[in-house]
Amino acid sequence: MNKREELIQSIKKTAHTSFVLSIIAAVLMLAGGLGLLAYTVASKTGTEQSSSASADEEETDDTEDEDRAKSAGKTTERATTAVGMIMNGAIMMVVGLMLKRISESGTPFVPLAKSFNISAALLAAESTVPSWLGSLVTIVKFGSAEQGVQMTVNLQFVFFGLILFLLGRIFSYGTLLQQEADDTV
Amino acid sequence: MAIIIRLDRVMADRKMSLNELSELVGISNVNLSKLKTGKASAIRFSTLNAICRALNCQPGDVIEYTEDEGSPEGSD
Repeated sequence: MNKREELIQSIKKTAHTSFVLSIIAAVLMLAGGLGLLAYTVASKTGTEQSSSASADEEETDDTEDEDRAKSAGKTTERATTAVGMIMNGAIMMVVGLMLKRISESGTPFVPLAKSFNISAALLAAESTVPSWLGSLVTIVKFGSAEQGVQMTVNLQFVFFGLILFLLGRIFSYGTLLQQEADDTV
Repeated sequence: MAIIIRLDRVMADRKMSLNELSELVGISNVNLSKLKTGKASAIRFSTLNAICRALNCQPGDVIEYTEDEGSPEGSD
């Protein structure tokens, strides 16, 4: 076996193992994220809890506001984590399918530009979407945008998205070179 | 392109089949067929060397250049 074939075998094996691992991770993340999101949406708000727990007792307005703010903060946090997990799961799924194609072809230079672009866009969107959607869940649930809303922009995800997009372009160039090599006899 | 592959002509002269030549040259039937029909975009020196050895000919017998009318110099 020459060096080229050795390298191709190694790529095939590594890509197949990574494909299996990424699909398992994707399924776990998607299931976990959806479960957490469903739990967050279905769980009672702080005021509902306190009113049902102590319906006969009189509470001051300050305590109610405090409970409500705490509950809203937790809801945003949970919803943000859930959306982040769902998006990570989707990215892992796309990456897993890319790895499957690589493991089947034996060369990394198969046309994967679209998959690279999708995962880059998802990664870049992860900079804002989880926290915004998390806050949206809190707004819808609590009926106000005052408590627990945290709309952040995480620039490192944009940066990683750009790097992935660039990698996609590099792979596209590699695909062209591969095609040229395949056409050379 | 102005480069024409004359492999079929040389093979006919030597009465050699594609299978025979592919075995002697050490490249696949498919690739040799690509070369014969002009579908290959490039040829390695090692392949050309093996073909010339197998057919006992010169590279010029296999590859021919003809002037391309209407195309500017240097383009394909």
